[in-house]
Amino acid sequence: MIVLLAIPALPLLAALAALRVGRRMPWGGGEFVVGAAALSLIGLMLVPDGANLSATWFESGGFRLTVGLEFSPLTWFVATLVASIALGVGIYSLGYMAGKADRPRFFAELGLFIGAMLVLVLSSSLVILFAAWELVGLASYLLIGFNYAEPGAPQAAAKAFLMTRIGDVGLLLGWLLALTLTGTTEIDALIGALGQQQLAPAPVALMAFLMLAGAIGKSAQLPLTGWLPDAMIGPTPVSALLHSATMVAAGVFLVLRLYPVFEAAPGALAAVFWIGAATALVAGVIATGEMDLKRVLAWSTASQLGEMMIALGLGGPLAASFHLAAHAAFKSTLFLAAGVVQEEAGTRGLDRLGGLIRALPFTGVVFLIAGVALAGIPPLSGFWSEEAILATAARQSFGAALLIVALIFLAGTYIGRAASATFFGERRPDDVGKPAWPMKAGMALLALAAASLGWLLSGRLGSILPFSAEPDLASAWRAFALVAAILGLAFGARRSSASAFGVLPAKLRAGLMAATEWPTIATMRISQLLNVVEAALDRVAQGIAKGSSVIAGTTHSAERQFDAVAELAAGGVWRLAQNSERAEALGFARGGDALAIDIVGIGERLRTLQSGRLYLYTLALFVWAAAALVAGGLMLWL
Amino acid sequence: MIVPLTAYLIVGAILFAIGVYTVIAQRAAVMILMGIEVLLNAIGLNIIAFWRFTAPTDYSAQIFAILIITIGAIEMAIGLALVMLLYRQRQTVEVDAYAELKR
Amino acid sequence: MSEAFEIVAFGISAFIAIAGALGMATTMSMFRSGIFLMSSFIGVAGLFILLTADLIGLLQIMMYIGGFLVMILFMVMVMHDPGGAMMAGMDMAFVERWFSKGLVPREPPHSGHSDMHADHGQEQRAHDRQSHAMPQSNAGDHRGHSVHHDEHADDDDQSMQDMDDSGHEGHAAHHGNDKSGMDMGGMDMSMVTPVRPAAAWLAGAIGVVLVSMLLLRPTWRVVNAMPDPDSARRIGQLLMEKYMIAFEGAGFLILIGIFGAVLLARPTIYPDDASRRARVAVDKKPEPIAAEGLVPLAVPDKQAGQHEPHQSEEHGA
Repeated sequence: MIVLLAIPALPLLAALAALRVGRRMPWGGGEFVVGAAALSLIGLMLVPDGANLSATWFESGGFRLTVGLEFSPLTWFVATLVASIALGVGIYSLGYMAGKADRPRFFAELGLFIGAMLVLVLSSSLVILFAAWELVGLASYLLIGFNYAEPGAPQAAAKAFLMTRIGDVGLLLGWLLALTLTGTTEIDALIGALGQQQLAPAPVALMAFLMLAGAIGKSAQLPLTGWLPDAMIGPTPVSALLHSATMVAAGVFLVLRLYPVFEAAPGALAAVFWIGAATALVAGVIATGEMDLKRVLAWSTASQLGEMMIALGLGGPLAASFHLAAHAAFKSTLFLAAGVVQEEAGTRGLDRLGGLIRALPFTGVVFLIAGVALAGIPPLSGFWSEEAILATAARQSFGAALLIVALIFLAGTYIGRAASATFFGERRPDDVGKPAWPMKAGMALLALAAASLGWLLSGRLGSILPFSAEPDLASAWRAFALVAAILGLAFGARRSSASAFGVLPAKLRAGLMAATEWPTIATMRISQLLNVVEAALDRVAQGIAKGSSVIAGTTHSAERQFDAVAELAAGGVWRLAQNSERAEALGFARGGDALAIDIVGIGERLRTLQSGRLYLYTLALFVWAAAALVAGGLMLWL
Repeated sequence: MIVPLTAYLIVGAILFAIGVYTVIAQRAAVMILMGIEVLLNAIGLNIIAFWRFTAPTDYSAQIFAILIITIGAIEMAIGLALVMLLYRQRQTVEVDAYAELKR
Repeated sequence: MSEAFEIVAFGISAFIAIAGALGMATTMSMFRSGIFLMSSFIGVAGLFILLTADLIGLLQIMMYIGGFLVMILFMVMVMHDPGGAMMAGMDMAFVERWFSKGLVPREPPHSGHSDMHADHGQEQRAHDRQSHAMPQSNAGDHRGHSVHHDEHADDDDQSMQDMDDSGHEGHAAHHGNDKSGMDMGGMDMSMVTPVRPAAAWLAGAIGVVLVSMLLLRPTWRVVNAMPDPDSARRIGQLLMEKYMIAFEGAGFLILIGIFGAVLLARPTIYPDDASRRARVAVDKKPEPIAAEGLVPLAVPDKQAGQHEPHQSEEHGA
């Protein structure tokens, strides 16, 4: 249990440590985050299956809010993925951040993200999931805006944050709906209730759509795609970890986690398919025309995530999760290599790069491996996962399978174009440095994963995850997809210096950006409208407040009258008391004082009689005796 | 009995007055004791004179005189002891030096 | 017994009693006071005998003169100025001056020896100046000064009276200065109390009142019977019969008085047996009594000679 709790807690603690003492550490606090990621990974290996940590946060009425972590096969799988990618990227960022300013802040934010992401993945409660979801968004905002002095970075960060917030509203409403339906925030309870057909279909469908909104926002699907390419302004490790491998996959993970909800709502599942298809196609086409290496990869990420959504919509969660893992591996590798290129060549414009395979042979090889994996060339990971998706699609319909093949062709086109533009042809930047060893190590780790993950997981994933295995793919489709991939690579490599499909991608991108910005603008409008409504409400409230203040003033004056009367009475009593006190002081006390003084004086005078002198005593005695004698004589005589 | 009773009484009265003067006016303890002795003598003289002239057959007056002499002897002995004690303590026997009781 | 003898005896006895008492009260010398008191007692004893109270008269002489006066003189010994030397010459009334006649004034003992000698010398010179019959050879004889002076005073009474009268002012001033010095020292050396005038007036008033009362009062009923001449036997019988309780009470009172006197007069820190033993026990090394040997005072020389070898033999053994 402690280990289970430690898995997400360690990166958070590492974040704190990096923030506090990172300035004095040789790697700027990065060793904390890397160590924490490694320890979390070990912890994930140690924790037994089915471990559960759950507690009731509070109960209110019929609602029971719980907090807890759960260790199911799906969560274990995704958490391991997240921790592994985090470890590789962490090692890479040790070298990437070497010599850069503000390292402790970077590593603290990275640690925060890793911890929050692990909480998100492992959470057994929708409350914790939502909180971690927002934390991840916060970490994304912070990391995109890490170089806040760079022009466009704050805007990009705000854009990413706001656009994901639109989806988050859906998620919030969705889990609140789940809470009202089931009375608890336990995901298992929700799924169990669904399995027993206890819930009405309409609310479940609504809940599925709301959850889908959250997934769309996080995974940069249409119409909320626009923030992802802009987020590429952040540091490259951030792009590799957050915006390709883990955070953007959180949307897919959400759908996977709540897959029974979507299964219970066919409309929502269809929406998942169509949204995924549209995003995959549009983003893929845009990627072929993009001239910025990282933006190519960003659009590619959106496209690949759409592909996963397609798989989910077609009822293939196993294929989606397979592709999730594979995509995380090769896309993060690609980003890391692109980061090296940007760092060493000083630019990421495809038209200003070229022939870097000779200057950066290691990076080039890594990029090529990951790129070929993305394109779906066997035996690399992309081939297996895309084959799984293709199998799912082929089982459903011919058109869907054709769409997948087209996407494979597009993927080969944009990655082949990027690779050839960057690493082959005329050598453009002359002064190219060497990447540091941690960057190489991180890239090597992830490239290894990208190369081997496919055949490692192929056929075994079904035994790991509780999803039904997809049918075998017909060899015709397999050959077709392979041919499409090779064709795409070749086509892309030939159109390296220009857009692959002419002006179409640019137009598409402009339209899409406008379209994706529309919800933001609409939200803004709504918020402005809300402003007006609020002003009106304000006026009403002010009127009410003024009226009540008038009433209060009336009562206040009445109270003041009472107060004055009471004060008058109190003053009278006070004066009476003072007078009596003065009388006492003058009459009794002073009189008593005078009496006491007089008595003291008399005593003093009497005291002088007691002189202690014997002759005075005898004198007095005999004077008295003589007086008595005289008196006696007079009495005798008279 | 040619000498009247009044003559003896006048002698006793004069002795008494002289004793009173001595007791009051003298500072030394010894002198005060001497004054007291004179007072006692005056009283004894009075007693004997009255006995002789008013009740010569009743000898009780002489008993009274003997008692007075006894009292005087005791007083003198105690006085001597007191004077010695005080002298040992203060190296003086003047009664003025023993005025502590006034406090 | 003739009447004339009775009157003369009464007069002499009364004079002695009153004059003795007066002298006791007024002289500056305590020693003289004691002597004057003795004379007063003798006078009163004479009066007792005249009143046919023979036993009381004898008792008066035995008790007062034989017992009390001895005690009084013992007490006078411890006084710091028994002779009244320091009092002489102070401001005195006539009676006092008369009864203190012949006293030699002296400086208080705290002044130095040389001062005393100087004073004596000055006094001697003053005396020499006024009595011219004094041989010069006696002037330096300080030791025999007082004896000589007394003799001289007895011899030349009138001249001494004159001398005292003439030297009164100087003596008074001298003594007044000394007295003020005494007061500053915190101790009044005067023999009489400050209320002496009041005491004199009071005593005079009491005497006058008593005497006038006695004279103005109607006479007592006088019984004209003669008492038994053998009064002692009658008194003894009375003591043993009627007043036995009083007699025993007086005896008990005397016993208590003896106890009290002894208790008061014994030294307060006189060591008792227990404390003496304790002191000896505390003493780790007692005085080596044996080694000192006995003091051969009462022993003849021959026995001492025999004793010495014996001691050496013991030491040898």
